[in-house]
Amino acid sequence: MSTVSTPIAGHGGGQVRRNTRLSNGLLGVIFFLCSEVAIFGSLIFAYLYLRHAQPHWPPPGVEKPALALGAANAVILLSSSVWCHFAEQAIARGQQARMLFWLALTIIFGSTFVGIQAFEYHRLNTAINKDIFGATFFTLTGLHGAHVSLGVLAWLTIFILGLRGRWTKEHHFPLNGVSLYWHFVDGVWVILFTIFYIF
Amino acid sequence: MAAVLEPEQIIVGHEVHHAPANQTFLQKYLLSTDHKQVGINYMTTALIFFVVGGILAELMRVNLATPGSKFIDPTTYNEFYTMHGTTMVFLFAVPFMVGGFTNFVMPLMIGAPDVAFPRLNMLSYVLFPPGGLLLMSSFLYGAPQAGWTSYPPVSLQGPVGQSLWSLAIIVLGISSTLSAINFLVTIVNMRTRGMTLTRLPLFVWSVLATSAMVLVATPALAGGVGVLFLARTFDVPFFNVSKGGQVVLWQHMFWFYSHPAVYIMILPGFGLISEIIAVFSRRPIFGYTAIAFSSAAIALISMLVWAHHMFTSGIQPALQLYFMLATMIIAVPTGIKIFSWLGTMYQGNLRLTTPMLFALGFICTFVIGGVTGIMLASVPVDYHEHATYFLVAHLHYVLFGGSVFTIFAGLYYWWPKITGRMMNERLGKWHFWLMFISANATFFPMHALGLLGMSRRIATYAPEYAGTNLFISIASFVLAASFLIFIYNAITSLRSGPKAPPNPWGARTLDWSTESPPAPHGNFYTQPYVTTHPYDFTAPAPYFGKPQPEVELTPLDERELRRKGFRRVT
Repeated sequence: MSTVSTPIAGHGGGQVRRNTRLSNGLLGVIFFLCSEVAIFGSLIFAYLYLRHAQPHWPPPGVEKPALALGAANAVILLSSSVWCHFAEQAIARGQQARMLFWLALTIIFGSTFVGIQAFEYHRLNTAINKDIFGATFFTLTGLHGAHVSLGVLAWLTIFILGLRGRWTKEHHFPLNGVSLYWHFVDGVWVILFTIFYIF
Repeated sequence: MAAVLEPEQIIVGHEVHHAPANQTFLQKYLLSTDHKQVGINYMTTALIFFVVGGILAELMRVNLATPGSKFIDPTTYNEFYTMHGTTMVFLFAVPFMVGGFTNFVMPLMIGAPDVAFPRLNMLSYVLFPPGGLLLMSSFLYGAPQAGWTSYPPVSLQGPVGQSLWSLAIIVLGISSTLSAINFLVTIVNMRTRGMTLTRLPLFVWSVLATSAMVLVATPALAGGVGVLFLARTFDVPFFNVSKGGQVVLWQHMFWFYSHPAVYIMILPGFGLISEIIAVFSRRPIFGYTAIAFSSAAIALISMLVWAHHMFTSGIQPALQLYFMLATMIIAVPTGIKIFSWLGTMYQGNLRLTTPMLFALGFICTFVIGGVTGIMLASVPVDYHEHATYFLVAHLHYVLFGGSVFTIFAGLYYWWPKITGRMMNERLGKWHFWLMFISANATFFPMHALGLLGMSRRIATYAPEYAGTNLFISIASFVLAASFLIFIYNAITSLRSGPKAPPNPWGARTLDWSTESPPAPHGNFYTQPYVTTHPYDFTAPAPYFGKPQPEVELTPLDERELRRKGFRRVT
């Protein structure tokens, strides 16, 4: 071992030391998603707890949302996950145009999901403060819808920056981060769809 | 020199530099992204709220000094105990442990230049004072009266302050969750050369476990408190039985966070006590692996015992049995720690400095609190003692005798590193003994009150409890006075205390391997590296800071320092 201590030189341009093969940012997104699991988890627990206490579900006078439209919407959201994965693959190979194409599809499909959700909200014959079905349904799907909307905004930002040539083969971490977030949001929808629409 | 293959890339990052000139006070201090300044900000703000919470407690104790006192009306009394609990938990203990000590010490201990996301760290702090002010503003609009536990239906019916309470909790929850993400990434990814997980100081292990708990438990609280806010503001019937809601649901959602919260408030304290006991016994910590694993075990099991706060809420007996057993089991890892600390001290070269005294006092009071905790874990006992002063005694033994004592231990221990000055040892010892005796005098008699049937959260009581209550109130004023000794010591130390050397206690962890205080940005002048475990007192103390000139102590200096209570550290 050298007896001379090396001063920590350079500023910013150097590479950052890390103990794992994941970057700080990616680890940050992963831990953030753990916290998101916790908040959705607590509200899902609340829904199951309240539903278990009810003899009839949905409560008398309340209609569950239509399964067909809900299923179609679920397919739309889940496929947007596939498109964003293709976008990630494209930029990993340096294919800017393809990345932009798949990003655009992701944004369109994501926004469509939100639009159809809004339409479904309008059609439902209950409200968030009317009965326990409305309370749990609108709270949970509302929180989820807010997450989807923020995700769409994030994708829009990524898309616009992509149009300006910001992403390269070497540097496109924010895409990976938002992509992880988007997959998580889709995963939550699978659960919500199952517990609200199917069962 | 032989070529060395490095699996990771070497840091060629932060050079130590000084902040740019012409920074306003706001930019340089409150908006600093330097983890050390963020830590100081947290500690200062949290101490201010400690005083607020303490004043609320003293006002309650004045009211409780005599039965039938008209000092405070019952409604205001309800507001006081609600705000006292909320302030102490959310505005003092959690921020001090998670935002204060962790921020300042943890990156230094792992040899990192800062946390993983310094600007996010700054945001975490920036959310803290507004959250606190939001909570305090509830006094202007009718403060909440449902206790810090905020059970519906009382919390559904309360004044506007209850909604402000909800919003404040959410803001503070976001702040601490962001901190947890920051710390987890820092510890996982930014340890310096040679700092394997088995060489991690035990404080860092405890921070790892605490951050995991904060990450998973706090958002669950946000869900519950958010729903409470919706219930109050928009009549969303989660807790409204007439529309299909369930009152006990709140208790599940609340305690799922608030039980881990008590471990969040104590686990970093356990970690720093490990550091202090090792250094002031001058021996490696006994059972390092056991303590590290027990921190992880506590973090995990603490998420699985929440309903021991709900034994009297009508939950099924089978569930009560499970939670009773799980709660008794969680005492085991803590017991392992206690015995490990005792084993560390055995045949050690003990130096009874102020931090060490607080550590020893902590062990005494926390064990008492732990024993009453086991008693309360037993369902039949809890049926009698829930919501009595027995519970108040238990929680104050573990929170005051636990968290507060460890906070003072850590403050005295790290004061030289944080401020670059030494505290006065004699004043420190006065502070300790007065606080230790008065804390026991305040909280121990509460056990008897509870066993004799005095309920908690009441503004007055039956005359048979009068003598004990008067004694407790007087003891509590002595307790408050002992805190003033600390304040005086702190202020005089900052103004004219002796300058602190890099390593006044002779520790071996990396936080003591820089100058006091460490360089403003970047901490270390050379890349720290670690070759042994952090409590190896046979090895020389590491130093990676700015080269220090040799200081020759004249005999006059030595005598002066001895008179003030300092001794040479070999």
